[in-house]
Formats: sequence, structure tokens, C-alpha cells
Amino acid sequence: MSYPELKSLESDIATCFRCSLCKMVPLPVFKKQEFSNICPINSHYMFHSYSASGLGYMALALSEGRIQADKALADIVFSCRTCGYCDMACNFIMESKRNEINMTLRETLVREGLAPEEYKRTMQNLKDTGNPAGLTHTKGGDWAAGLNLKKLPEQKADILLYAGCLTRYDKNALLSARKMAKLLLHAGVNVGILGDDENCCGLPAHWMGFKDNFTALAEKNASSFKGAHVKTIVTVCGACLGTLKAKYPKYGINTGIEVLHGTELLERLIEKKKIKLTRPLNLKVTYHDPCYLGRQSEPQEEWKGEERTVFGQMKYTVPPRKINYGTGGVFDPPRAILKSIKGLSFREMYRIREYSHCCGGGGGRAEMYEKMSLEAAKDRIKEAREVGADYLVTSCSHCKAQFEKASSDMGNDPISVLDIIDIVFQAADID
Amino acid sequence: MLTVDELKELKDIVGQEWVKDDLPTRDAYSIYYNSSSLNKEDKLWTARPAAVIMPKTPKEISELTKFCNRKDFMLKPFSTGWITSSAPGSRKTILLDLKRMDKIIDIDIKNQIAVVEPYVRAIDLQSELWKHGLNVHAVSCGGNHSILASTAAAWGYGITGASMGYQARNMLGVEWVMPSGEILTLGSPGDGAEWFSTDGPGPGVRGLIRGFQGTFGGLGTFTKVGVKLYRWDSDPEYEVHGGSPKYVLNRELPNLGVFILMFPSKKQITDAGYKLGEAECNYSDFRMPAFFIALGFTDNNLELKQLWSTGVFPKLARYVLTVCVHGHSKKEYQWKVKALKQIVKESGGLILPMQQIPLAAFDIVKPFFKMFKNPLKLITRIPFIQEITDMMKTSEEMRLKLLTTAFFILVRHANNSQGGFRASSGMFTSVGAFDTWDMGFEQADYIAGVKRPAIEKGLILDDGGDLGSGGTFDFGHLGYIEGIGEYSTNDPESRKATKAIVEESLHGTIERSLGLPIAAFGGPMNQLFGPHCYNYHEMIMKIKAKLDPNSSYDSWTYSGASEKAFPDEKEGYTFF
Ligand SMILES: Cc1cc2nc3c(=O)[nH]c(=O)nc-3n(C[C@H](O)[C@H](O)[C@H](O)COP(=O)(O)OP(=O)(O)OC[C@H]3O[C@@H](n4cnc5c(N)ncnc54)[C@H](O)[C@@H]3O)c2cc1C
Ligand code: SF4
Ligand code: SF4
Repeated sequence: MSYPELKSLESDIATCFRCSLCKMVPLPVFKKQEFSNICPINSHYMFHSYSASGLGYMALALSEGRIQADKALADIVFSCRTCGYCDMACNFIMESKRNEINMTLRETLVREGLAPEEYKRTMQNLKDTGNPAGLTHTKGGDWAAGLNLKKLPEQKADILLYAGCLTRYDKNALLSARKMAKLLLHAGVNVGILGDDENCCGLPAHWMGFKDNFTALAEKNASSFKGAHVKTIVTVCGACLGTLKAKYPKYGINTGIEVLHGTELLERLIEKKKIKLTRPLNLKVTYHDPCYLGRQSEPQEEWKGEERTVFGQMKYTVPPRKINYGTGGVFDPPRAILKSIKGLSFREMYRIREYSHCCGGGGGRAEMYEKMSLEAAKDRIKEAREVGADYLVTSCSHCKAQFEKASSDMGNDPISVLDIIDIVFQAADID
Repeated sequence: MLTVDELKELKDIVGQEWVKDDLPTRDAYSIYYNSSSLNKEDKLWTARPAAVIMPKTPKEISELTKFCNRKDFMLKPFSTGWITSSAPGSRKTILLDLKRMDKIIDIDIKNQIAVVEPYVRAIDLQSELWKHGLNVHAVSCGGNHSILASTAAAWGYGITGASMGYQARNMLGVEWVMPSGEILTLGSPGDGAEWFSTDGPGPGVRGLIRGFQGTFGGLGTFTKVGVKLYRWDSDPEYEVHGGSPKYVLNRELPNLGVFILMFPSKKQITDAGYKLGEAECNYSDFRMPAFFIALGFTDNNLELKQLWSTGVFPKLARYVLTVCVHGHSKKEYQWKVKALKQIVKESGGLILPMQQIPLAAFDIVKPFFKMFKNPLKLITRIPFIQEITDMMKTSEEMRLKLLTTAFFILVRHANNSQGGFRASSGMFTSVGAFDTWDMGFEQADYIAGVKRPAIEKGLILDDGGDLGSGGTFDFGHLGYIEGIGEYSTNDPESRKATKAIVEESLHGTIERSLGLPIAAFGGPMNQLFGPHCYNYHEMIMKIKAKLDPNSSYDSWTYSGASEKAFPDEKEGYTFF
């Protein structure tokens, strides 16, 4: 069996020299052993196969025909949470393609029919209902009932507020989305929604390795975004931001429309005093950078240039190819917002920004790997506790749901989990 | 192949989930750093292990060892598994991945000893130690290596060796699962810890199991090590700003400074190295080859090409020693800095200002450098040149950036591998013996000559030849410079050329009496070097035969291919 997509990555796999830096925080920012490991699957399953390096070696073994595409391989490959830390970590050392290798391996297994049944069901749900959970109890636009938001494309607006499917269907998350809409209306923003026509961004399909389904969904979404004739798309959920801003272009889908996360717009509105954070909040909080709002939202620039060789074996590119270090994600706006709230005490955790620790909830059907994925979230909650926070704030519906689940399982040491929108809403005191 | 019953037996020892025998996992454990150097078909693959096991306790390891005493299988333990000597030497090898054993068991502040398990990485321990005003010697591959491995099992030469010696000397106590399965404790892990056992009379057992290079997993498993600590009188923590890949210190650290010393000749740099050691003012030092310095000045290979092509670096930066000065008090620090300055002056060197030099400046000075064979010799003769250089000012941020780079290399072991791998995809090592500081430079010159033909054919990277990296040890009593080269992991011709260089250099080392290189371990290498060095290989074989009569441990990296290995696994290899 030959796998051309993997074959073309063989030389990139070969550059891995098994340093294991993809399992831990970058050495220069290392603070504490207890909170130094990052790859959630490696922290749990421990074996090297559960790491970017191991996944790469197994991809090479598959490509060279040493091993078969089988369940044993699939069990390991699909456990990866696609948090993207390994890519960032390896790029710290060299120009690498760890993300691409991971994704190509899982896409290969999907093509071989090895995706878990649960994944296939999720894909069917997406197809049938437009959301991965297959929920039909409400319609897509119900979350905004009574808010009098403009309905695009029938009406015109500058900004399309994109709720995302987890936000739309989760009873807690939709409250945050409603608050976001209220904040924007309060600030006089000309905002609209797609309502019942809003689709899932496609991230679950991407996570699970269903490349064709993902691109089909992305193309469909891109066309309705374009048809809405807005200047900017603002996502409520961090995961949608990374998908629209980085993954669509990576798979060749460009809308040409600016994509922002809610926190970016809120920060601007606060700066312009359109939203005033007048009410003091005496909270001790820390902030969790969601993978897809953070490092995974850094767009990969398409590089057009030439690769040349000099000094015998030194390859260089003209112009230099931009390496993705994950630093171009949305990191500062949420922090700036939190720090501008009176009375609020903000403290950083150890694994932050581009080297943030995944909540364990991404990668598709986290409940299939419940022990591991909850362990990741619990580890994060412990870290929040360690820095003295009473509230763990985040800005992604997936992370929030995951932390809430983990926290409720933590017995004597739970933590309160908040969406940053809820905090801004409280501090703005608008109701 | 392990039978179902054998697998069950193994799982009963460590628990079901900690034994893996599926092919994907075993292949994930069949590639290591530069492992193509071991593969006859020039592929990356090593032997595929029979299984991979993650034990948690010495007792479990003891049981697993007893299993291998009874069966036709061998164990190979490793801590992080970074270096190729962790690889299985046979398809009958069961790997022990010790990642679950990751506890810092004790930090005995008063006696300056830490007791750690195998998967305690240097940076784990160092970060804790700094809080107690202590530090540990780490080897140059970076803070992600295992302290136990470098202390008890493998090599152990690092940048802080100037003041902290080499790691075998820092092993104060060890807990050892012997090849028989018995658990033996040696030395002492410090006050209040579990054991104290004197070593001797007669030959030291600690020496026997650590030796000069180590046993590389070929003679049992070390489950705890007591490692000697050194003082750290600077901040317990530091903060950085910026993002990957350039994190910058927020401020200078107290009682700590980094100096880049440039010398016009080999004689001057070696003399200065001895004097710095005599005055004990080098906490750590690193002989930084010109190409690596150019690499550090640039952000990408295009810039590196432009900079290196000016030809300035090979002439200006041939003999550069970066030195970290650390004082136990402010006064001591000031005294050491003064001593360092005086030594550099007396040796005819120059302390480079901590200043980012714009790339364009190199183009301007290029013609001047072309005119003279050794422009630094002329520069250092300019009256008051050091004073003039000292007056050059730069922005605080720029200073911090340079200081950070040096700090991460010399003290925190935080970006060494990053430094080395950008230019080509792979790095190899050849000669390099733990000997005198002078000898290091002789080796560097020798390997530069060996590399030359391959460089001229474009088969390895043209780094100017001399990539000798290392420094002084034991305050100048010893030195170590490793003959490094860069090759392409993806070019079979490049890999072949690398193999040939390493082989030639190993023989050349013997002909020129250049000392025992880092590659001198394992069967074929011991056979090569042993006869020139007290027949140490015979002693190793005797020790192995006596202590491990049933070949319970895979010894390809120690005494040679194990008896249990398949015939095709007993052939030679070249390790780089
Ligand atoms: C890029 C690079 C640069 C390096 N530079 C240096 C250098 O400058 N100086 C230097 O000294 N070394 C160097 N090394 C070699 C080596 O990595 C180090 O010596 C290090 O100390 C070993 O740590 P590790 O984490 O790599 O160990 P591992 O890879 O886990 O093991 C190293 C060896 O020790 C054995 N071992 C490990 N743990 C145990 C145990 N518990 N019981 C018994 N045996 C065990 C293994 O079988 C293996 O043979 C370098 C390696 C690399 C990859
Ligand atoms: S993937 Fe990159 S960071 Fe991870 S082990 Fe390989 S080289 Fe190191
Ligand atoms: S994407 Fe995340 S979970 Fe997957 S291998 Fe990389 S670091 Fe681990």
C-alpha cells in the first residue's frame, strides 16, 4: 500500500531527532517540573508513540510499509488532541511540519476507513443537522431570540457575529453569546447574524481527519460569509476563530473578510470607551489560552519563493519562509480586558500563550478518551489553583465546557470557570 | 517474539497498560538521534524492540531483570531515550522506558546532594535547586536530558564543567538494579536519606559501574542517583518577555555576567583558559566556533549565508571563548570580573562588547578583513583598544538580548540544540576527548582537515572546517572540545560522507594519540581503542561476564553485542 501524502513528508519526519521538547514547555520559559509537560496524550499515556515524534516515526513506518494501517495504529493516532503545541515546540528548534504530519496521518487513516465509529457518526450528524452533536431541539438562530439582531444577508450589517455550534446549542454557552451580542449592541456596533443559516465552522471534521468534509463545509461557509457582505466576522468561540482564520486558508479557502475573535473587538470597544468597565469585580482570576484562539489561529502564510542550497548542505529560502511559532495568536486582548477591570486580580499560569496547555477537549469526540482528556483539564485546573486563582477564565466554548466537566469531577477542589464575555458583561454593568 | 504467556508475565509485573508490544509502538521506539549511523541500509531504523515497558519501581525492574535472566530476552533501560545509545541492539531487546520514574526524591541543602530518579530532566532539578541557592552540572545537549543518565550511565561533559567538573565525578550515590536482579545501593545520597554504604576496600564499585564513559544501559538499571550540587548565588527565578523563538530576560541577574572573549591565536586562548581556571573565575565556559557565532547572530539561513559569506567570521572569531562569571557575593563577582579582564589583557585578547552588530557593518569591514591574514592580531595591538571597545554603548534591550542568548547557553542549558541544527538538518560528532585544554584544539584542527575533502565536494556543510565545541573542566585541569560537523539527514551521500569522516577520524585519533573520543563505547569501538588504552575492553568484557552471565541486559553499547543477539545483529557500526 502506498501513501503519497505521507511519502512526501518522509524527509520532514526524518528531521526529528527525538529530543522530546515537543512534550514540554520551551526550555527558556521553564519554571516548574509539575507544570512543565504539555502534550496531553504523552502526559497521560506516557509512551513515546503518544507524542509528535512517535506519531511521525509511525507515519514513516506506515509510509515505508513496515506497519499496516490498522486499529492498533488508529487507537494511538486518533487520541491526539490536535492542540498543535508540538508544532510550535519543534519550530522553536527547526523549521518543521509536525502539525502537517499529524494531520496527514489521521487523514490517511480516515481514508483507509479506520476512523472510530463515533467519528463517523459525528460526521453524519454534521451532514444531517449542521452540528456535530446532531441536536435538533432548537434551530440554529434560536440563541439570539429577542435580541433584535439583524438577519444576514437579508439585512445589512458591518459585522457578522458568528456564534459557532457549541455556543448555539449549549444552554450556558448561548447565554455568553447573548451577552456578547448585547455588549455589541450597547456599544453601537452594526452587527448581524446568519441565524438558522449558520453552519458549524467545520472544526470537528478537521479535528477528526475528514479532510474532504471539512473543505466542503468550509467552502459552503465561505460562500455564505461572502454573501453576507460584511467587513468583519466576529466569532464568539475561540475554536471557530482558529478555524476561520488559519485552517480555512491552509486548506485553500479564502473569504477575503477580516476575522476577529470577540475579545479583539471588545478590547477595541473598551479602548474607545464604547464599553465602560465601571463595576469593580473582586475576583482572583487566571486566563487559559485556548489552542485554536491562541497558537492555532496564527495563519500560515503562503510562501512563494525559491529554495536554494549553499555551503554544500545549507538550505535557505528567498525570501525567508515564515516559520509559525504560534506567537501570532490572540493572546493580548483577553489579558488587556481582564487587567482593565477594577478590583480584579489577574495572575498568569506557567503554561501560557503559544505554549499554553490544551484543555483536552479538542481533537474530536474527547469523551472517547475521557480519562486522558479530563486529566488534561484537571492538570490545568490544578495549575490555576497553584497560582492562587479562584476563577479560571477562558474564551472558547469547548474549553469552558471541558473545564466545567473536569471541575465537577474534582471533588474537594473544583474551580469556577467563566467565559471572558461573562466577566466583561458584569463589569460593564449594562444588563 | 514474546509469547502470550511471557507477555502476561510481564504485564503481571508492571500492570497491563505499561507493556506495549504492538508494532506501531515498537516502531515509535526504533528511531533515535542519528540512528541511521547504525543501520546497514542507511535507514533511520534500529532493531525493533520486542516490547516496550514502563516500570515504576526498582522492585518491578528487579522482577523484569529476573525474567530476562530466565528467558531469551534482554533489557535495555533508558531515561529520556534521546541519544542513540538508548536504542535496542536486538529484536530480542525489551526496552525499559523510565519516564514514569520522575521524582526529585531529596534535595539535601546542607550537604549539597540531590537524589533523583531517571526521568528527572536537568531543567527540572535546576529549577528546584535555584530556589535553594544550589545548582547542578548539566551536559551540553540541553536541559531536557536526564540528570541520572549523565551522572550514572553515559558521558557527562557539559558547559558548567569549568567549575563543576564532569558528571562521573558528581555521582555520590546510586541505587542499582544489578543484572542479577538484586538491588544494590552504593555511596550515599545525603543526610537523612535511605542508605549509606562505603565503597571499598578494593576496587571502587562506583568506578566499576560508572567508569570513564558509562555503561550505557548494558549493565543493569540505575534507579536513583545522588548527585553533587554546587552553589548558585543569583536569583531563584527569572522572568522573560518576547515570544518563541526569542525569549528575552527582563533584567540582568545579580552576581552573574557573561563575557565574549576573542583571541588572535590558539596559544592565547589556551593560555587564557588555564589562567581563568587558576583564578577560578569561570563558572562555565564554551569555546564557540566561528560558524556557530555567525549562526547566533542571524534569524534565518539567508541571513546566515550573507553573514558567513563576508568572510569576516572565520578570521575574527576563530578563537572565541564565552565565559560566565558568577560570584557568591557582589564583591566576589566584582573581583572575578576584574581578574577576568586582567587575564584577557595579559593574554592579548579582547572582550567583545555586548552589542548587536548590524549585518551591513560586516560588509563595510569586509575589505579590511580580506587584506589581512589575522586582522584580530592587529586590532588587539591598537593602544587602549579594550577601553575604546568598552565605551561602545548599545540599547538596554539589545544588551539583554545578547545576554539572554549567552545565559541560555552557558547557565540554563536552554537553547543549545536550537543553536546547532538550523544550518543543516543533522549534526554529527567525531573526535573529542576529555584531556587537556590544549589537546582539544589539536583535535579541532585535526578534524577540520579530515572534513575538508567532503566540504569541498559539497557533501557536508562548509562550516569553515572547525566546529570544535567545548570548554575547560575542573578549572582548567581538563578540557574537552568535540569535533562537530553538520550534514544532511535526507541526503544519502551526505550521510555516507559523514560515516567516512567519523571512521577516518577514529583511526586518526589513534595514530595521532589524540585521546579517547566520545564515540569510544560499545563493542567495536572498545576493540579499536582498548589495545591503545590499558586494554580496558578486556576489563569491560570480564565485568560483563561476571556480573551478567545470563545476558539479561543488552550490551551493544557497553561490552559489545550480547550473546543472545541474532547473528546479523552482531556486525559492526559507526556511531555519530
Ligand atoms: C544533540 C546532543 C548533544 C549532546 N551533547 C553532549 C555533551 O556535550 N556531553 C555529553 O556528555 N553528552 C552529550 N550528549 C549525549 C547524552 O545525551 C548525554 O550524555 C546525556 O547525559 C544522557 O542523557 P539522555 O537524557 O540523553 O539519556 P538517555 O538517552 O535516556 O540515555 C543515555 C544512555 O544511558 C543509558 N541509561 C539511561 N538511563 C539509564 C538508567 N536509568 N540505567 C541504566 N542506563 C541508563 C541508556 O541506555 C543510554 O545508553 C548529547 C546528545 C545529543 C543528542
Ligand atoms: S518532533 Fe521536534 S521537538 Fe519533538 S522530538 Fe522530534 S525534533 Fe524534538
Ligand atoms: S497535537 Fe497536541 S496532543 Fe497531539 S501530539 Fe501534538 S502536542 Fe500532543
